[in-house]
Amino acid sequence: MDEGQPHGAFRAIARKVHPDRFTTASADDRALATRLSAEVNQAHFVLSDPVRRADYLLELSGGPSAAELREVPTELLADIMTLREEIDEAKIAGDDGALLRYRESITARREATMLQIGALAESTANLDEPRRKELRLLINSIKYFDNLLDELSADPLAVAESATDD
Amino acid sequence: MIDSRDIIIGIDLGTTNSLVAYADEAGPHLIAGPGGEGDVLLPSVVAFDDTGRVTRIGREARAHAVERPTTTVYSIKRLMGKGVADLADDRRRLPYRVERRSGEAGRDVATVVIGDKSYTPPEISAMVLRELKSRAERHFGRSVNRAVITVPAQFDDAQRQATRDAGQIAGLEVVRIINEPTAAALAYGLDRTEQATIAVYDLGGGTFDISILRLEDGVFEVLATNGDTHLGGDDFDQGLIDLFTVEIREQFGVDIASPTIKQQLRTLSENLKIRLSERDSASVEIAVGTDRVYRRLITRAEFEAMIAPLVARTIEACSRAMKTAKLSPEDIQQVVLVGGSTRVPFVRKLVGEVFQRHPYTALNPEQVVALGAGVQASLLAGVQRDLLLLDVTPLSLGIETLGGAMGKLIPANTRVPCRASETFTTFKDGQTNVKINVLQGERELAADCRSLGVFELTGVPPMPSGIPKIEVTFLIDQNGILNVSATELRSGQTAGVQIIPSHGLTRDEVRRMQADALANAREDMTAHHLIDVRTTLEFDLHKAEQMVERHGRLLDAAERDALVIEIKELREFAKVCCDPRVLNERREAFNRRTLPLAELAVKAVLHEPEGARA
Repeated sequence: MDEGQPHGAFRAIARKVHPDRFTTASADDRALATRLSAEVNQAHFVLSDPVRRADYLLELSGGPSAAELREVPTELLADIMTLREEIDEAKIAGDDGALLRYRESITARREATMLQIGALAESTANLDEPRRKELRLLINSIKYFDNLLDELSADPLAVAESATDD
Repeated sequence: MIDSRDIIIGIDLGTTNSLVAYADEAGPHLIAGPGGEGDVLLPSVVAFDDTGRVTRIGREARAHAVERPTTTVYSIKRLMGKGVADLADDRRRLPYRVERRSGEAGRDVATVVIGDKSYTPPEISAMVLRELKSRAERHFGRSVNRAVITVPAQFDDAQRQATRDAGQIAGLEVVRIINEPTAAALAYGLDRTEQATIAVYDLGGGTFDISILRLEDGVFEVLATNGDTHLGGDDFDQGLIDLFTVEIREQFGVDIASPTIKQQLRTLSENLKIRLSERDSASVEIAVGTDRVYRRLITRAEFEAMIAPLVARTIEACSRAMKTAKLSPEDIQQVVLVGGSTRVPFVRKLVGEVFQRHPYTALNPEQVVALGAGVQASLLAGVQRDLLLLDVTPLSLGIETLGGAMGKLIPANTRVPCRASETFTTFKDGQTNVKINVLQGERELAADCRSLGVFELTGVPPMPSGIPKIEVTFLIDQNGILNVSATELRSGQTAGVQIIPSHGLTRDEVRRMQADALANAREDMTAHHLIDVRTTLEFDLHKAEQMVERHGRLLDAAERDALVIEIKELREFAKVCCDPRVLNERREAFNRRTLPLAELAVKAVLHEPEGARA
């Protein structure tokens, strides 16, 4: 889907239902505007992020939800632990080159996982239970990649600096 | 042009100064005080007498701070929505007494104690608001009952509620609470229709906010906000105060304990800071005892080293906000400075560095928030309809879980209004009440987050334990204020939600305070009226004396003497009379009595030859 499209549509709807448009309306109507705006905001929150969108599609097709199945692919868990140790060592050693390489490789793996998620999520309506579980594990693993990337940019000033190097 | 019913004013209720504004078709305007055009800043200071009665508000109150430190209340915004437990540092620094309100089991509401009276922070803020309200009423020539009030973006629910309560106590319906940086963006964004991403860096007297917004199609959308509600120019002053205090102790062996000297130090430090924005060095002289003087020259470099850790905290918050918005400096087209503390060159320099561009300061940083509040007020009043604000909640909202953890329901930086639901059940058979501790904050443990209060769900139909399914909906509205509702799903019954705010006022307390404030305002009005009548009476008496002196010969002696005695008696009576109506009746009666003499006097003057009249 076009990533910019939900945003334009969102703004148009937000303009119509926002409670600031109903200051002179009755208390009931104002409360309704507030509730509707909350729904519209929630819809936009889900639609504007591919992971949340996939999560939502999975929920629609019957789950499992993140609460029901917390696991990630077993091989990934081992990888993550090794990576975390290596990143810590590189940080202690102040090896910026290595940290940059880790960032690139993790970003690439995250993107590859997103492609798999996208392919499965497009057809959630037709997925059997084992495939839905597989999708769940993939979605769960994104959080691990994000945590690692967060750790790599733990010093917020480092983000700003790396951005200026471009 | 503006219907009285539709007047909504915009108020910047600041730590140091407050302002009131409105907007019409031509744009936003500030409303000036009695000093005329340019007198737009109302110092957020309230002076009391020793018994705890309000004597002055604003500039005159601030002028009294050094003379009467323990009865002059300033920086009250730092206390809004707080408990005494939160205010250890402030209590040490503030010269007036701040105590925990008595008789409050399980609650911790800070109050200011003056003489035998005590006032909660919303009541004191209400005094400032009432002054702004009457400025607006004088401007429009009619009553004004609705307002938009700004708060720091980082204000939590308790602080926002306290601000809304202050409005209600002042007799203002607070139609909207908006975030200060968002208001500033609104003031700047009026005539720009293009698409842009801007950062608003707002460093005021007591609070710091950074917000990143996207402007597109007339929609102001906050992408991320960050900051600190307890960091501002006051803390810059405090660095200087602490330095002087230590040096005076070392050089003179004198401990500064007197509130008057503490207050003097504060004023001197504030002035020094302001001078250092213009010059490379500045000095202070402080009398120690009667014959000794402490002199100190401070260079700008020394001052900058002193405030560097504080400014660094704001810069880190800027980076966090960019990270949340998933933006880097080159994605941001404009950086706007707001708040008096952004006049400090060191602050400007560091902000310029982190965003890699010169900050924009076309509008007065002390006025821009109020102007934006005026714009939002006009949007709500329907004067303008082409803009819309979409803001976010600054803090994560959650509930305390069984193990004492913070169970997050709504993450920080979620667009408001937003909603989350959670299902609860009972632990005992027949249990009809369930208590939920509602939290705000980013920490993992409930104890490290801020408790907004205990929400007690009542009227749950009695059932065996674990059977009821109580769905609780947490809704954060466009003001960033939490609304909670609950339904028992099996019976479909709406459960009652009783809130015991941890640091705030209950609805009943606010209503009571509003009634008290109204009664006090009437008393104040009486006092005001009495002064007016006395002044007018004195003028009349003086005129009568002149007439007796010049034209007394036109009356017979007995009449003349009676008049002289009456003037004397009335003057004495004016000193003791406390009822303006009674005094005014006496004044009118007196004028009726002097009328024949006045007529005789006029005739006499008319018959005098031309030259004698002058």
